[in-house]
Amino acid sequence: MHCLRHYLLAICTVALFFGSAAAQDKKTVTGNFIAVPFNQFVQEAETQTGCRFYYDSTQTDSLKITHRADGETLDELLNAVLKNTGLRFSIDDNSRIFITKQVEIYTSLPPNFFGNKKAKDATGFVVSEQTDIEKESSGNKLKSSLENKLFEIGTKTNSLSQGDAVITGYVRDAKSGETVIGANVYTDDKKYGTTTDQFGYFSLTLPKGRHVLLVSSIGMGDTKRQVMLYANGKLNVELYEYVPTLKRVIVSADKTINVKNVNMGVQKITMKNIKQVPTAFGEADVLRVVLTLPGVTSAGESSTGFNVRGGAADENLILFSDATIYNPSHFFGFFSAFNPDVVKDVELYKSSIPEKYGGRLASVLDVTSREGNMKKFAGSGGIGPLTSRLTLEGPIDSGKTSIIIGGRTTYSDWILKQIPDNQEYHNSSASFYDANLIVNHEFNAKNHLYVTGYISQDKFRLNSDTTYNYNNKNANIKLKHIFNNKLYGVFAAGVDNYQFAIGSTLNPVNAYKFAFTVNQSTFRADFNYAVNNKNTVDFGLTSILYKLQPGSYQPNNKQSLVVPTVLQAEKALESALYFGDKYEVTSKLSVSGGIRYSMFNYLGAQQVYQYAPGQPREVANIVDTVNYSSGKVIKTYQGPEIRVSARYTLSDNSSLKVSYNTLRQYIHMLSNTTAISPTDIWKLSDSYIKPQIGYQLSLGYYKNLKSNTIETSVEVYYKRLSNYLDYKSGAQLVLNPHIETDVVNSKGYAYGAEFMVKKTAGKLNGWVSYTYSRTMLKTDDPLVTQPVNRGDYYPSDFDKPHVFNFIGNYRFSHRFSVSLNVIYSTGRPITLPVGEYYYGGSYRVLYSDRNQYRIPDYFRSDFSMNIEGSHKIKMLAHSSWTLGVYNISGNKNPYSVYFTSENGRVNGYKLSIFGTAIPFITYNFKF
Amino acid sequence: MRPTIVNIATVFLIVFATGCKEPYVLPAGAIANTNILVVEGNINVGQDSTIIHLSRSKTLTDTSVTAYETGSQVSVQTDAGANYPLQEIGNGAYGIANIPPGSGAEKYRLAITTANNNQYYSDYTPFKKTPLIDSISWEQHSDGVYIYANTHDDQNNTKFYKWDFSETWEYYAPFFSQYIVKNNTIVHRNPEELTFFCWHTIPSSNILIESTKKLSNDVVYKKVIMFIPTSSEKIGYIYSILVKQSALPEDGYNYWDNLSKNTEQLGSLFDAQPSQITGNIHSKTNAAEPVIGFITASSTQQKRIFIYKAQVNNWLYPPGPYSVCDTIHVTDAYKMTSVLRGTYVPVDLVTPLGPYYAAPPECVDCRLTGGITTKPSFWP
Repeated sequence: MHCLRHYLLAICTVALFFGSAAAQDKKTVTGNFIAVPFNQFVQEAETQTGCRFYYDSTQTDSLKITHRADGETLDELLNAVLKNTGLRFSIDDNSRIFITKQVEIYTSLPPNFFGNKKAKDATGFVVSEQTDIEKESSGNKLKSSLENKLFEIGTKTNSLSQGDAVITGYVRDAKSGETVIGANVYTDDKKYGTTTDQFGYFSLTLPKGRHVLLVSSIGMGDTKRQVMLYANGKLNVELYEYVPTLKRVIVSADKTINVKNVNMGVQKITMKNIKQVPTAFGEADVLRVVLTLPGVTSAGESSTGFNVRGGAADENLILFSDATIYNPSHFFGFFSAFNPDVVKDVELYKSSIPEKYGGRLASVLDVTSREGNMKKFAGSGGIGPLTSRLTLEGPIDSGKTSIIIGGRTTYSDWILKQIPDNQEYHNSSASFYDANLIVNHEFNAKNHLYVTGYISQDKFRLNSDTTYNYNNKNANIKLKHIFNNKLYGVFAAGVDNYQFAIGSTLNPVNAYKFAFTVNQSTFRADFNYAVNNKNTVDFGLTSILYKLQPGSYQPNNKQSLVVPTVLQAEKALESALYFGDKYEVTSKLSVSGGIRYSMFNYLGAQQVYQYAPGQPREVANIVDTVNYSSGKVIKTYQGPEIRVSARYTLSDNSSLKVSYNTLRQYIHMLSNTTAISPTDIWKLSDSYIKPQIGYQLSLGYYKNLKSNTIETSVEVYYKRLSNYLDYKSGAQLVLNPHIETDVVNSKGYAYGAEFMVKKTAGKLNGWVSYTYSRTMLKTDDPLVTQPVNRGDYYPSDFDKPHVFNFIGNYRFSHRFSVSLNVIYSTGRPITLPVGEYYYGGSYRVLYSDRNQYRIPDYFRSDFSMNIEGSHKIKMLAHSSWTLGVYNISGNKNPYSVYFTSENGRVNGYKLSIFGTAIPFITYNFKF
Repeated sequence: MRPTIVNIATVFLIVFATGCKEPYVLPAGAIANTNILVVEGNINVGQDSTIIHLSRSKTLTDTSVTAYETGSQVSVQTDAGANYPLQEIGNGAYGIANIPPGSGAEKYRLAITTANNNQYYSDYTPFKKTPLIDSISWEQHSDGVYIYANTHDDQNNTKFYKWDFSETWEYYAPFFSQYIVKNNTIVHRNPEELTFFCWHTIPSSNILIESTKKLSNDVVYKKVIMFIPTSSEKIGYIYSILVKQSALPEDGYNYWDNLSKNTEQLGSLFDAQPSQITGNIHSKTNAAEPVIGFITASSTQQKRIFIYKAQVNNWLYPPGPYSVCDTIHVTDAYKMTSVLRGTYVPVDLVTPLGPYYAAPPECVDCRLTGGITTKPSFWP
C-alpha cells in the first residue's frame, strides 16, 4: 500500500467530496473515503461532528480508510471503518472518542458497579481483556489480529541473553494450506531477510529481542508478525490470497527479489500471470508464456522446443515437480503437457543456474506443481474448444495429508469424425490425455513427504495407416527432513520414462512397429544449511542411471517380413556432487559461489566400433569391434562445473549482478529437422560423442521504480558452446548402430542483451521486453571432409536477432479484465536455393550455404477478455469465461519457406500455421 | 513407407489451425549464378539402351529451357578395361544402343570430356542385376486408383529398387469436329486431320525408390507407383503405364533418398534441414568443382499394364460436352468471321442444310491439352 501513497493521496484529495455538511447535533458523517490515511479521516470526522478523537498515532499510521459514508452516525461509521483492524473505539458523553488497540475503553462503569447507584459521571476506566482471537472466523479479522499479536519464540525468559537465534517455519496460503514459494520474510527495518525455498520453508537468523517480520509474496496480501525472539524456534505464517476490493489498490512494497537476489537471469511466472495470456485454443499454456520471456525463442509457432540464449531445444532441463519431462507437449506442440490447474508456478533459470541442477546447457525450467488443499475439498476445471480438464483436491486426514488428482483430455477425435464429406478423416484419430497425482503428507513438524505421479499420452492415426504414440511417465517420492533450525535435507528418488512408437499395418509385408525409450532412475539428496543470516550453504549429491532403448524395429503382423532389429540398449550413470555458498560480504555485496562436479560413466554391455586413427569416422574405416560386458565402464567423462555470481547493491532499489556458469550435458537429442519433432531420439554420450560443454558470462543491471511496482532490468551475456552436435548431409539418425559416423562436432557462441520492464502490481500489469541476440555455429571437426559452409560460422536455426514482446493485462474491475499480447521477431534463418537443375524427371533445387537468408519477420497480437462470475467467497462454485482472438490481425506469419518439386517444376511456398484470426472461448470453474 | 507423422501434423494444421500455404517469391539477393555440370543416367547393361543426359544448373528465376551440355565426349568404361563410347543424340543426351553383358563382376564408370576440355569421371559402381517385375497391380479405393509394383529377388541380393514409368492415356475432345477451315472455306477433314482422338504420354517426375533392407526376404509388395484420383481424365477411356524397374547400389539408393527428402518431401511441420547432396561424379581437372549426379549400373526390367474405364466404378469422366463447352450456331456473317479466323472451329451441320455449329478450339482439338493424335504402337 505504501508504494502508491503519493499517487493515492492525489486521488484522495480529489475524491474527498463531501456531501451536504451534516448537522452537528446529529453527529453524522458523509463522505467517500478512498485509501485515506487515518489522521485525515479523523480530521474530517472531527470537522463534521465536532467530536474529538484520541488515539496513539503509532498504532494507526499504517491504516488507510476506505469507506463510503452516507449520513452515518459516528457509531456506525467507526464500527465500519475499524472493523478488522484490531482497533476498538469508545465514545464518552463529552463527545470524546478513544481509539485503542485490542482493548476497549469503557467510558462508563458497568451498571451496578456501585451497587444500585447510578454511575453517570464516573471517570474511572475499566479495561476489558480481548476475547480469544483464535475463535474469530473471518479471515481478515484473523489476519489483522495475528498481525498485532506478539509471538514469543523460544522459551520466555526474564532477561534476554545476548546473541542471535533462528526462526524457521513455513509460509502457507491461508485458504488452501499450500506452501508459498519465494515469499519474502524480512524485518521491518530490512536489515535481515530471506525468501522461502521450494517447500515454502524459511530460516532466518536474527538478534534476540523484539522484531516485526514482514512477509510478502507475489499475488498474496502482505502480512506482518510481531515476534519476541528468546531462542531458536518456529513460526509458521499464513498469507491470504490478495483479493482486490473494488475501490482499493493494494500495492506491496519491498518486493525487491529481483534486485536483492544474488541469482540473475531468473524469471518466475505465477499461474495467475499465465492464465491471463491469450493462447490459440484458449487454454492457459505454460510453455507459450515462457516463449514470451526475454532470451527465449523458438523455431516455429507451434513447435515443441524452445531455445534459451542460443541453446538448442534439448539443452533445457524441464522439471515438473522435480521429474524430468522429455517431451513437454501434446499435439505436435499445439498444447503444452502441463495441466494449468495443477501448476503452481514456473521458474526459468537462464544464466545463474543453481548448483543443484545440472545435465543441460542452456536453462532449467522448473514447473512447480501445487500441493493440494490442506483445508477443504476443492476442484477446478475448464471446458475449451478442443480440451477439457478437471482437478480435484483436498485433505485426507485432519490437515496432515492432501491429495490432488488432475486430468485433461481432448475430444479432437470426435471433431475429426464430424468433418463432413471427408472419408480420409473418418478412419483417423487423434487424442491425448494427461493425469497428475500429488500426495503430500506431514508426519510431523520435521518430516514431510511428497509423492507425485505424472503421465501424459498422445496417440494419432491417419486414415488407418500409421499409428503414432508417445508418452511420459514420471513418479517420484521426496522426503524433507528438518535436522535442526539451521539444517534440513531433502531426499528424493524417482523414475522418469519417455517413449514413442510408430506402427503401420497398411502394407502387410512391410508392417512394422518402431519404438524408442529413455528411462532414468534418479536419486538425490539436497541439504541446506543456514550458517547464519549472512551465509547459507547448499550441498548434496545426485545420481541418474540412464537406460535407453535407442530403437527397435519389429514386425507388426504375421505376414510381415520385417526382420526384428533391436539396437543394443545403452546404459550410463551420471553422478554429481555439489556445494554452494551464498555469502553476504557486506550489506551491499553478496556473492554466491558454487561448484558441481559431475561424472558420467558409459556402461556396458555394448559393442563399440573402432575406427582407423586419423581417418574420417565412416563405416569403411571400422577396423575392429570391442565387446564390453554388462556393467563395465566403457568411457568416463568428468569435470567441474563452476557457478559463481555476485550482487552489488547500488541503492535501495537498484543493483548490479555478474555471473559465470559452466555446464555439462551428457544426453543429447538427435534431430536434423528444424523444429523438434516428437520422433526425435535421444543419445547418451559414448566413446565418440563427447559431452557438450557450455560457458556463460553475464552481467546485469536491475532497478525498481515506483516503490518496486515496476521492475526494470538489462542483462547482457556471452556464451560459448563446445561439442555441439550437427549432422552430416543425409545423416541416418534412427536405427543407426554407429551414430558417430553421421554426426559432426560443432562449436558455437552466442551473445545478447535483454531489456525488460515489468509491472507486477496495479490495474495494469505485464511486461515489455526487447532482446537483441545472435547465435552462431561452426563445424569444428577435423575428421569431417565437407564442413557446413566451408567451416565458417553460420547462424543457428533459431538465431532471431530482434525480439520484442508485450504481455499486458488490464483489470477494469475484479470481475473483468482484458489481456493483450504483441509479439514481434526477426524471421528465423533459412537455407534458400541458389539454383535449380533437371534431374529424375523434374527440376530440383540446389542449395548452397546454410542459413544465409531469413523468412519474413513475425508479428502477432492476441487479445482476450476474462469475465469472472461473482466473487462471493462463500459461493459454491466460481466460474469464469475466457474469450478472445488469437492473431487479431490475421497475419500470415510464415512458419517455414520451402521449395518442392511438383509435376516436374520447382515451386516455392510460404507455410503459415495460423493464417487467420482465431477466436476462442473457454469456460473455467472452481469449487 | 516413411512414418507419416508429418502428414498427420499437416492434417491437424489444416483442420484445427487454419494453416495456409502461399507462393513464395525469392528475395532479390538470393539469386546466385550457378553453372554446375549435371550428369544423369543409368548404365544399362544388357538389352536396353543407355542414355546419359548432360546439362547445367541455372538460376531459379531463369525460365529458359535447360542449358544442355553439348559437344562432349562420353563413354562407359569398365574396370576390366572395356570402353564403350556414346554418341551425342541432341539436347544434351548421349546414347549407346547396347552395352553387352559382362561377367557381372565388372564395375562400371562414366568418363566425360566436355567441350571446354574438362574431364569428369564417376566412381566405379558395381553392376546390379535387376530382378523381374512380378506384377504391376492396381486397386480402386474410395479416393481413386492405386497402381502398385510387386517384385522379389530369390537371391536376396537386390535390396534397393528404383522405378520410373511412362504413362499414356487415351482421351477425346468434347466435340468431334468433321470440318476444318482451309483457304477461307469450310471443308471436310481428312482422317489425318482429325483432332478428336488423342494419346497423352508423360514420364515420371517423382522419385520412386524402395529398400527391403529391413525385411527378411527381398520382397517388394504393393509399392505405390501411381495414384489416379477418382474421375480423372486418365481413365476416361483407356489408361496404360509402362513401369521400368532397376536395382540400385546402397549408396545410389541413399543419393536418391536424400534427393527426395530435399526436393519433394517438404512442407510439413518437421522438415529436414536442406542438406548438400554429394554424388559420385568428380572433376579430374579441378577436384574442388562440384558436379551433380550419381551414376549407377544395372540391367532393367519393364512391364506394361492397361486399365479400361469399364474396370473402374463411379468414374465420372468424361463430363457431357455441353457442360464444359459453349457452342454457337453460325447463322450470320459475324459468326462466320469468327469461324474463319479460328476463334471458333466448325463442328458439324445442325441439319443437312446447315447452319454449322461451332465450338472454341479447346473443345474440338484434343492436342491443346498436351496429347498427340498419333496412336502409339503399343495401343490396343
